[in-house]
Amino acid sequence: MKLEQELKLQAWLDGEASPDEAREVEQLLANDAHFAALAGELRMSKGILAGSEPEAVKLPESREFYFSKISREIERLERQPAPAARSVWASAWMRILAPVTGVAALTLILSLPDRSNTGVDETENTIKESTVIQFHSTTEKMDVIWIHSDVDPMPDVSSPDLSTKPDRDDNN
Amino acid sequence: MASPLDYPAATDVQLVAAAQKGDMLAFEELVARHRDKVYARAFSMVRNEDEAVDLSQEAWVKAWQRLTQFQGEASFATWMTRIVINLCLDHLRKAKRQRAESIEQLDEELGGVERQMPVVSLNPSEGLERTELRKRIDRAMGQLSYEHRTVLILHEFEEMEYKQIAKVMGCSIGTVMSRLFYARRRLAGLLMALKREENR
Repeated sequence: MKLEQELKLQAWLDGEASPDEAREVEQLLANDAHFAALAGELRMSKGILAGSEPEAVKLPESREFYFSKISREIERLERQPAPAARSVWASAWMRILAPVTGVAALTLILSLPDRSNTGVDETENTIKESTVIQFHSTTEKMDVIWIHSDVDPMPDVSSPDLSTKPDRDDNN
Repeated sequence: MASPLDYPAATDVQLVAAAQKGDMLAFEELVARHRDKVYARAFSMVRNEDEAVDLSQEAWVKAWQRLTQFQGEASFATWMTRIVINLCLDHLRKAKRQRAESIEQLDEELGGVERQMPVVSLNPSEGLERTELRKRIDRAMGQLSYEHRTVLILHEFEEMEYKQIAKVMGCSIGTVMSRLFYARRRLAGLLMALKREENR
């Protein structure tokens, strides 16, 4: 049995299979005993967990003590001066300078002396808000140049996605 | 003049509105109401009391900072749970990066063991009281890798769809599907082993 078929079976049990996948699964269930047994096991695992979330553990700290640490941290953060906002002019200059510096770094890398004796060569130039990595392999006759802009920050992990979550535990 | 808010009697919506205006007492009431749930979710993911306390407190600090972004699309409890889940995932990812990965760990993640496991045909929960079953599930969940445990928590307890889990865990839907498949298979095996242990 292929993993792909097993995953389709699971998607079918979770109500996430497309109509075509559902037809394929139903056909396999009718003709393959092992597939049907696996469906039974997956259904059972799903059923055991439904409504059987382990008892919620209680916080080992009192309300006052727990909250005092939270409020202290909030106060500490609020006392910190806000980071100085970059001026509009500085931002505009950075937008122009970052790619220009990247190109300059690239030109510099490409104009470096011949590397034919070394076989493999890797250079990394890190410039504020952009990174240029060049990889050269004589044996493979290959040059890879990677320019990466760091301007966009990584998504914030504490921004919860609430777009489609069903609202099932409304307290009030 | 508006009458002062009766915090214990106020709804979450009223408390959130007050807290959004900077009312720390309203926020404290929200913390008191939901702290156990937030802590429990953190504990279910990291399986360590101290880390769960720290992460849940960090989640409340984040919530205060971002309270104005809460528009009430979901309940406050759901919003808080998402914050703590994200923090736990970030924490677990960092912890994993610091840990040297063994071949066994990699194998487990890829499902090398689970694919070879015989299909469990007997119901390992048969004849068990709900409390006992929950204890067993808790023990079995504790033996899963964090990826497998998380995917089960998000799918079975938080009732998220594959697409949402992929977004939260920062992986593809295909990875979510395979992790969920191996997690379920492994859980069935672990519950069966616990049943055999009891019968011995």
